[in-house]
Amino acid sequence: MTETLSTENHINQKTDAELVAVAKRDSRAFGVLYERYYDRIFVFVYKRVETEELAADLSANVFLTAMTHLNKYEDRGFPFSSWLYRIAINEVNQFYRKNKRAIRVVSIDRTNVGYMTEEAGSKAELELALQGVEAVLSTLDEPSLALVEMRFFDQKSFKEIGEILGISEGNAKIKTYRVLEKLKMKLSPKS
Amino acid sequence: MKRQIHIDRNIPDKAAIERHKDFNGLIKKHQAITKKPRYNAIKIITGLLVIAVIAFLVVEAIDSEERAITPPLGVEYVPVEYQIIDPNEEATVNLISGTKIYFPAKALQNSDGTICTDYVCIQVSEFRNPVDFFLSGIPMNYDSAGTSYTFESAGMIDIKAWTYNGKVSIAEGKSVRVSMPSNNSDRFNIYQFDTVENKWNYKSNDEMNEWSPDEAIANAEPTGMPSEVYSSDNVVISRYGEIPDSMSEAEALKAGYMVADTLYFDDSTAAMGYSTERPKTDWKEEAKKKREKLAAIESERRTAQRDILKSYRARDKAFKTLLRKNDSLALAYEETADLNASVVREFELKAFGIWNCDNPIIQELPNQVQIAFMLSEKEFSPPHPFYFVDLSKNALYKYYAGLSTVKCDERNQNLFWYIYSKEEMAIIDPTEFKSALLQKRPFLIDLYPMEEGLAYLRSEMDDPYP
Repeated sequence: MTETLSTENHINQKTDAELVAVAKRDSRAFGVLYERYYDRIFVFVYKRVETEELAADLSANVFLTAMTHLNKYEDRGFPFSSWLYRIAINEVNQFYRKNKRAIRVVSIDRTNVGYMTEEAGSKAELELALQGVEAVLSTLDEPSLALVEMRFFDQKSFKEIGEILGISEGNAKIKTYRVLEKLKMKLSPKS
Repeated sequence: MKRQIHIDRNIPDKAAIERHKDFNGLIKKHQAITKKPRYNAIKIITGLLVIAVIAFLVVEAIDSEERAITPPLGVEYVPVEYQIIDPNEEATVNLISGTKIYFPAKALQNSDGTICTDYVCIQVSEFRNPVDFFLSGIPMNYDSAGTSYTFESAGMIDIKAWTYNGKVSIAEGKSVRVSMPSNNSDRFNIYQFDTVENKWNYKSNDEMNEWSPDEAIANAEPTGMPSEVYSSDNVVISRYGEIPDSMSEAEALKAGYMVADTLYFDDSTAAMGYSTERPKTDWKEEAKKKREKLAAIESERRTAQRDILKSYRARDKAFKTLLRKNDSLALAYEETADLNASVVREFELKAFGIWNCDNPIIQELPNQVQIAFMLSEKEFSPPHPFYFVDLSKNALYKYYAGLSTVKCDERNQNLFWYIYSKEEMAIIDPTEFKSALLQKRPFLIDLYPMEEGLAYLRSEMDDPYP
């Protein structure tokens, strides 16, 4: 018993990279990674879909895909979680591609809408026109929406966004600022 | 796609999330996917013998068919574009899909090894989705270390170049750069098809860049600044950076920092000039109009390309004027299409021929379907191979009568077809495929006139930038 407990403690203390290496040979070791990341992936997916049940189904697919393709996973210096988030984005996109009548859900909150203005470099403390942002988010293309969601509503760093989308941190920044520019154009009096 | 925006939505608490966890279920599903079936020894030996005989016959059939790269519906169904370039100067060939091919100056050589100076006709066939792969007749399988893989492709091109004096090639030490818009940000490998050995050879990896009409600006590394800010037309309008606390704004501006134009929101929606109501645009109608416009430009462009080729072949210098028309049509197409692929994948060619941006994959799908073709209650073998596409992947699987176990995932959209006759194509659509699989009943196959069938298959390939 003592030995089992000590083994469990030991495995729980392993880093993601160490666990991945073990899980490639023994899928049970994947359980620690599952426990470690399930909640985060679930919330990430839930923010993009309508129901808890659907979020649970897609999250299960994320981990199944990860488990199935673990042998192909290479540690390129990015966190393992970035790989999971990338799979999660693909799962969500795939769901909406296949269910063309389903309505894409975007979950935003007031606090982070305020945060968006600061990101654009605003110095004045302005309250966002929430409904306006809502209208704009309804028209953004999927890649732009994904950037806005990850940056402002999942509060991910540019580095992490870059890792998830497979682009450089600089590119993630440039793309995000471009989206903000587009938002600005759409919200400007001229448009 | 319609969007529903939830504001300050309640996120399930830890206990609620916990209820959805099921690692044991996950393990079971994983085992179901990866489990190898058990057979007894006699069955294995008999099975192996049967498979060996069939495989021998099939490989013979595959070899004899693919060695010559025979497009299954004939060469007239293989898409082809022609453009003329002046090899003395840098040139860009803009393909209808948005793919660009960059030729450096003096990069082409004649068959005698001299640098080519005549106008060169560049002939390109581009294959972006499984229907294109099917029409090309090019094998999409790759063998490595005794394992056979199917290519999941991010795009394939066949480039040829020639002048009045015959074929030209890429000069030694020079290379041609291909740039393809793509919505898949995974890295892919680059393979070249060896038409003599009839096999794919790995060459390199692609490079992934941000999709931008102006790559030079997009990829410029800001010096000493974390980022740049662009205007809507992609011109750098200001450098954006964290101004050090110790520096006043005036000092920062003097030192080369520029405060980025800020994104300004205002409570007063009326003053900002936008409506709080959802836009009433009929997006479906808009999309239809856009498709019609694009089809008109594409048709005009194909005519222009044919005229260019005709004029070039007739040694009529009028093709130079037509080239300008073709370029302006390319621009019009790009503007109308409002291409916004997420990335651009790029790779270099040291030789013309067939190049493929791919990842070799093994089908790891949970279901296996035994396919038997029945006609008037009698089993028959279709004379042609049959094709299978899981629409979540940009890959084409080809099967032959006799080796008729198709792997599939019933949760995905699956499309299945074969050439029924010269005039007709047999297609099982995704809804029927799923329904028949779930109900464990025979599939119903629809027969389409060839063009109509192809149009239907194409309509299922909805991502222009795989």
